[in-house]
This record gives sequence, structure tokens and C-alpha cells, in this order.
Amino acid sequence: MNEYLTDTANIKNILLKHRASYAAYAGYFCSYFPSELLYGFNVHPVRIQGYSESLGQRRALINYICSYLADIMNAFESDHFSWADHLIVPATCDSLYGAKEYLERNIQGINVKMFRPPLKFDEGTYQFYKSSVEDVLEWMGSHYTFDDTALKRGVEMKNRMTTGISELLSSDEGLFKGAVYLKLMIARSVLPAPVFMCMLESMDKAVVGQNHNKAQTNLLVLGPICDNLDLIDYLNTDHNVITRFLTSTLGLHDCEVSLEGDVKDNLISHYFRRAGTVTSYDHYSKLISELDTEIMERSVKGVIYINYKYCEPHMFFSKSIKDHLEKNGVKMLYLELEHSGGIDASIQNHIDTFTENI
Amino acid sequence: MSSLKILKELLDYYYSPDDPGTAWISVFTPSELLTSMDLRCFYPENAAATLSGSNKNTALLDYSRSVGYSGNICSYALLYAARSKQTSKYRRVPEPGLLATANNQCGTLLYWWESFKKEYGLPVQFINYPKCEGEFSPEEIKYIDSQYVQLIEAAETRFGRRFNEKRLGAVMENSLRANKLWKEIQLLRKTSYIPPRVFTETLLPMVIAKGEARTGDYYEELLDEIKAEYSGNTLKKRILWLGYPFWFLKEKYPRLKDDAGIVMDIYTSHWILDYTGESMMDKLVNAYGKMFMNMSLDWKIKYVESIVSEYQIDGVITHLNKSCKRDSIALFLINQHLKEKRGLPALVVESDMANPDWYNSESIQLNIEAFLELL
Repeated sequence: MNEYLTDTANIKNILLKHRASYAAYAGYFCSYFPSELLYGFNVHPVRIQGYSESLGQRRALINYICSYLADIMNAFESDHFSWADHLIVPATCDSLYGAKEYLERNIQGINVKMFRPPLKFDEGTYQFYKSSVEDVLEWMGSHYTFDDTALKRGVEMKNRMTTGISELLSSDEGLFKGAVYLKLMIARSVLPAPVFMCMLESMDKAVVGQNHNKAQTNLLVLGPICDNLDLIDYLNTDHNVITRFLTSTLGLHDCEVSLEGDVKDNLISHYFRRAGTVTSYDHYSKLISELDTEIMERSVKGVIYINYKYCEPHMFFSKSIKDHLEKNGVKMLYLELEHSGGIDASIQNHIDTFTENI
Repeated sequence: MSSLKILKELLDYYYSPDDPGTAWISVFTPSELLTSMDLRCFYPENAAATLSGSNKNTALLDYSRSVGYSGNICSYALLYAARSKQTSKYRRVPEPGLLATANNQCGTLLYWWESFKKEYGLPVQFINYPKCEGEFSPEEIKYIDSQYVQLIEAAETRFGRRFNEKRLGAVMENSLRANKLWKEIQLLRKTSYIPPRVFTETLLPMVIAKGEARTGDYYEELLDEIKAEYSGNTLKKRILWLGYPFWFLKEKYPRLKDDAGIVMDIYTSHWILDYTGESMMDKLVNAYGKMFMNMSLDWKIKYVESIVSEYQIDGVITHLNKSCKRDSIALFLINQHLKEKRGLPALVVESDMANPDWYNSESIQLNIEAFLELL
């Protein structure tokens, strides 16, 4: 397990080692773009994860931008993303849009493309979503040739990765929100399929299950993009709490894409309707309804709401969620953390005090 | 009639206690569509900027934080959440019958308006503008256009009124006239130094009443008054201000030395909109879809470069606004471009448009003084 985790943290070396298997690597942010389409160009899509290790000087640039993106911008400058040939950045929040413009101007050797999905969901917006996807495909088509068979093969592999995780964790589906689950989902979104499958096969199902099932059921952690593995480990190992996410972009459910008919159309339609992407336009109602279910089914007594500093969309929810939880007799601890640097003693104290009082 | 008298009339109308049907909208929502249906548009951003200028600003911010709002959300929203705690005559705003906002100026507004949705139990009419790289594609125009139609339909349903194209034509004429005059007033800055507070003080009708006939009257008077007062004023050091003013400062901008002044600012010129197009809907798509904040960085750089050359700018001061994520990175890059590629002296100041807690007066003043020495 530890060996596996070390490998996923060192994604750069793994990707560089397997470079010859693909025409190129394309990094992408968030799950708005149907990334599997890139397999049609023999391009491996890699979800850009935050870099939780502190990189030093980043705050010298702009103090108040989303700390997740500030880390990523610095990580690019520090050569942590040297594997990337292309980048697809969705214009879904102001910081992401700004990051695209920053990277385009300051990082040499990477082609950057903005993906412009609609920010609301109804049948009328589907055509616009589709044309935005096609705009990205046209851009990729100016570099590589598209092949339907390669696309089908890529999607098939991705489906097998999803099934593999399900089987590994099938001992208790209800607790999939824990750290093991998160780490596997991160690996699924970055590793080349053969590397991932090889790792999955080498993992001991019994050990994973044991590790996975320790979570208590009366504490819940909410977070928008929790890839701070130190924090997740602290919460899961020391406090045995369940971790879940505001936007379920890392959800295992609904990840398999049909290989029947036109796979390209299947993918576009699938991503458009998939929970956690554009369908989450009405974020608050969706979140509250998920929270209520969770509170009822698991007798949740306390919620730790963790947000990254200056991630404005999610900062707005804190008050509404607090009010809603308090009305239902559930306490909430709200933390705004820097993305990098793990968790320090004061944060640990906050968490400890809160959990002891639940 | 002096401009001040017309302004008073406009404000009396805007803050009158009657409620002809009120829509709470963000400042770059196509208000003409709603004004043409005889609805009153109310702008929470504008109200928040006013609260920032009050002597209760920090108390209001403290209150919002104490009831659970994150202190790091947009300071307009943070201030406005405490509106029930302030006591000026302007607090009596009719409750919204319609909520509408857009993402052409800022991505956060949607979340702010979601909080109104919860408070008033109304849906949010959200106009989703694609980012504009220069021109919109026919598909993008169709997409924006269809959302304007949805806004009209929502207003018709909510208030039981019929949209009338002829009436929209009249409102558009008023907007175009006000827009043209505001542009002319801004152009005076090329040849005469006009203190920047003149623009922050006179911007209000453009924000809250551009579809009203009296707004054009106001700017016509104002144009003459400004010409009479400032014609021939000159300065040695001509500064371009990029970003928001500081609403909590009396003069809205930091103090500069006597031989230096802000001859142009990007913020108040955001209200010069591009109403081009054949149909009225096309004009509105261009005006609001192609406003500065929704344009690509390349476009913005070209625009700012043209200002630098037309207004004979000697140096640039860029305000990176904590509350405005849309502005921050773009303005940082524009500042970087002007400095590195054009060799123009450029300074960055980090603060906030409405929260004085983030304004370090001493340090900002020192930096500006040192910067001006270099010019």
C-alpha cells in the first residue's frame, strides 16, 4: 500500500517513463471535459492534481487567488509538470480562467486550450456544450489524427480501471468516501491504464478492506477538492472520519461509458449529464439534499467543512451549510486552509477539539 | 438645469418607496430588457459600494463574519449581508420580485445571487456568457440570445406584463445616448486633467439608470460643466489606474503627489459599452458579452495599450483586488506585459475595493511615492 502511495505521489517520473506509449500527454482540470475522447488521438489525459508539498515563493505573485491554483502555477514553474504537452483548462471559475492565461504566457513548451462549457444545465445548453467539446477536439485534431478504434480501446481500458476499483473495495461500498477510495480515484485519473491495472492487481484486498472499513459513521468531512493527502490521512487514520466531497467529481458511480453505438457521442452526452459536472449548476440544493441523506443514514453528529483559501465559489456555501446543519442539530467546524504545506499543529488542535466535543 | 439637480431627481426616483416591480440584478445584466417592461432595477453591488463608504463599514463586515460568513468572500457580498444593520435612508429597498445575474463581469455573482435565492425564495435568472476571444460565433450569439428571451419570459411571468419591442427601442435609445456621452466625458481626459473622483462620483446614473431619458440629460449637462471647469488642466506625471477604486476612501484613490495624477482609469470606462449589431438583441449581446471583464487577455492588453498611447501615460498603477478574482490575474499579467514588453513603469498594489481591513495605507502610500519618484 505504502509503495503504491509513494508511486502515485511521484506521478512525473511514472509519466516520463511511459511517454513512448502515447503520442502526447494532455493535462486537464476538473471533470467538465470528456477527457477519454483524447484516447482517440492516442493522447493520454492526466487530471492535474494539486501539489500539496510547499513550494515556497508562490505568494510573491498574487496573494489572494485560489491557493490550489497558486500551487499549480508554481508547480509548473518548478518543473513538476514537465511531462505535459498540452493543457485543457475549463473556464468554470475566475481563478481557473486566470490560471490558463497565466500558464499560457509564462510556461514554455505547453499548448494551452480553454474549454468553455455552459455553466448551467438544461436541454437547451446541450448543443452549446457539444460545440465547446468539438472546439477542443478540433484544436487537438490540428496536432494529431483521430481514430475511432483507439478511442474505443481507451474507453474500454478506463471502464476496466473503474470496475477494478469497485471490485477491490466491494467489501463495503458505503464507506467508499475514505482516503483509500480517494487515492485510487486520483490514480485512476492520472496513471496510464497498464500501470494502474498492475498496481491494482498487486494490492492486497484484505489489507485495503481492513484499512477502509475503520471509518466511524458520525463525523463527516466536506471539501471541494480535497487532494491534501496529509489532511485526509490525519482525518481518516487518527480520527476515522468519513471524507466526502461537495462536488462529486471523483465519484466512482456513473463512471462507466457505454461502448455501444457512437462512443464519441456517448461520452459527450454522458459527461454533460454526469453528477458533479455541469449538472451541478444548482450546487446548494444538490449539496443539501446529499447532506440530508448522509446525516439520516449515518447518524452524523458533526461536519468538518474544509475549504481551500480563496476558493470563492465554495467559500460562499459555508454560511448556508452551517445554518442548515445547526437547524438539524449537527455541529460544523469550518476551516479555510492553504492548499500546500499539509496541516500544522493549530489545525490539528482545531480538529481534535471539535471531534472530542461531538 | 445643473447636472446635480438632475442627479437628485434620478436618485429620488431610484430610492422612492413605491415598488413598480423590482428586479435585483448585477450591474452588467442587460437592464434595458427589464426597464422596457417598466421594472425598477436594483443593484446590490452598488449598494455595497455605498456601504463601504459609510463610517460603519468595519462594523458591518464584523457582523457578517460573526454570523458565519467567510471573511474571504467578495467584500461586496460580505458588506451587503449586514445591510439590515445599517440605518441610512437608502436602506428601504423593495424586496426583489425577480433575481437576475450573469458571469460576464465576475464568476462569483452567481453564488451571491444564490444566497438571495435562499433568502427570498425566488429562482435566479442566470445569463451564462461564453468568454469572448474577440468575436462571438453564431452559436454563441444564439446561446446568449436564448437566455435573454428566458429573462424576458421570466419577467413576464413574475410581473404579469408583456414585453414590447417598441418600448425596448426607446429604452435602447436612452442607453445609447448615455453611453455616447459617458464616452465623450472620458475622452476629455486625453487633453485635460480631471481628478478621478469626478468619475467615481458621476458614474452612478450609468450604473443604475442608463435606460432613463434623464440620464442622457444628466451627462449632457455634466459634459459642459466638466469642460468649463477642467479645460486646459495639465500634469507632469500621467498615471493610468488599472482595477477598482477604494470605495472606503474619501477620494476613492490613494493620494498622489502634486505633479502626478490619475489621468485615466479602466474601472469607470467599463461602462462604455459596445452597442453594435443589427438587431436590438445583437446590440445587447455585444454590449454585455463583450464588456472588458469578459474579454480575452490578448484583447485586454491591446485595449490597455491603446489607452497608454492615446492618453500619453507615463506610468501604471495596478490594484489587485482581493475581492475580484476575475481582475486579479488578468491585471497582474497586463501590468507584467506593460512593464516587460513596453518598458512602462508599473506598480502593483494589493488591497480590496470595499474592505478597509485589507488596505494598508502606510505601505501603499510609501510604495506609490517611491514609484512616482522613478518617473
